[in-house]
Amino acid sequence: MLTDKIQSIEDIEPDEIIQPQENENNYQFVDGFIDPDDSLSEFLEDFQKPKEETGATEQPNDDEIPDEDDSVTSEQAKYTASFIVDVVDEAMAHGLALYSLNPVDEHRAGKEQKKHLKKLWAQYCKEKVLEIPTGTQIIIAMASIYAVQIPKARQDRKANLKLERIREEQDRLYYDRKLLEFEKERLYSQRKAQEDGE
Amino acid sequence: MENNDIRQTKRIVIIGTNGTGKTTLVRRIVQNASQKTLIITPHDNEWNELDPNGVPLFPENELRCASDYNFTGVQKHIYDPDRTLKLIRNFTRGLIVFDDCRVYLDARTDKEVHRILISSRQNMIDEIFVAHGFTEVPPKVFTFATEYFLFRTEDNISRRKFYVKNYPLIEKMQDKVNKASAYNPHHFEHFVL
Repeated sequence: MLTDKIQSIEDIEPDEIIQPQENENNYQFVDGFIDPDDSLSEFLEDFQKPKEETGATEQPNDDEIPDEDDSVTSEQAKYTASFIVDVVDEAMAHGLALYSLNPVDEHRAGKEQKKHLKKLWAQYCKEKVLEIPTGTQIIIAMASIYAVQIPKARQDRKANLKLERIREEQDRLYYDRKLLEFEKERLYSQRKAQEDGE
Repeated sequence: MENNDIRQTKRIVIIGTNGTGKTTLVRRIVQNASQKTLIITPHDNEWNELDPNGVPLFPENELRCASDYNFTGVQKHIYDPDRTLKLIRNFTRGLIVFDDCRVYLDARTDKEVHRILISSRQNMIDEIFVAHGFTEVPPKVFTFATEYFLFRTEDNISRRKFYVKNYPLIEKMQDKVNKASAYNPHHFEHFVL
């Protein structure tokens, strides 16, 4: 058995020929380790030495361990609760603002109210093992951001179209008036020329 | 000042094809390690030996929370793709054996393996990576490896050329082992980088 500490490439003979050794036919690896030269002893002796002390804590803080059993963790429950409350708050504020025509911010829940709601939702999520998959969260979040704006967009579109029609009407009236003024000026000049001729 | 009674943590790579004696060697190292040891294996049916009283020599560790690390002696853990590497972040002051690591250490786990490797000194952990060939060990491991046990393998080290420290030495050693294995299939070479 060849077990050495080799520090560099020079330690190896380039043309070294490995010859069979007498006792190597008697290996017995499956049932027990045979190490005729006791070549591992140096390594094992070194391995038994104590390691350099770095102050690593032997008992890590339980908080650092991800608790990934089937139940919902406190952190997951808090996250789900926060997500639900924020989405509902956003949707409700927009819906109510649409109805009342007040600014959206006037219909949002207060900071303390939201905190209380989140706490209750977190408790509920933990008890009922309620966890919303990320894909569903993305869809809900996008819907809450954009869907609530659809009625407002429709209203804005109606208003903008009406405004456009009014502007067109204004323009038409302006040109009509200008035309009349021009006509009036022309008739006035015509009449003045006739009077001067007489 | 060098203190000979204290050693640095080790990151050992054990390479060898089937039946060369890797597991036997690891078993011998583990039994002499004098430190708590966690054997991570993908195989349910390995490390199941019983002592004369019928008690498992390597009881299974589920690794669910921090208190699971308060064991003494040797425990095995069946690899769980979603949890194992995250959980061993909290393992300190011991030896981790990554048995047949090709099954579960790949590009997806690279970041986690890197983190474990760079913090092994601070966490006072020795690591042993066991695989059938060089390409079955994450490349990052070769960058940090301190010792090798090479058994016969056809998987050439040249495929890890750009990651391995002292590549010519390892190439030469592999060649030496493969030649010697013609006479003794369990021949191995141990060397420190």
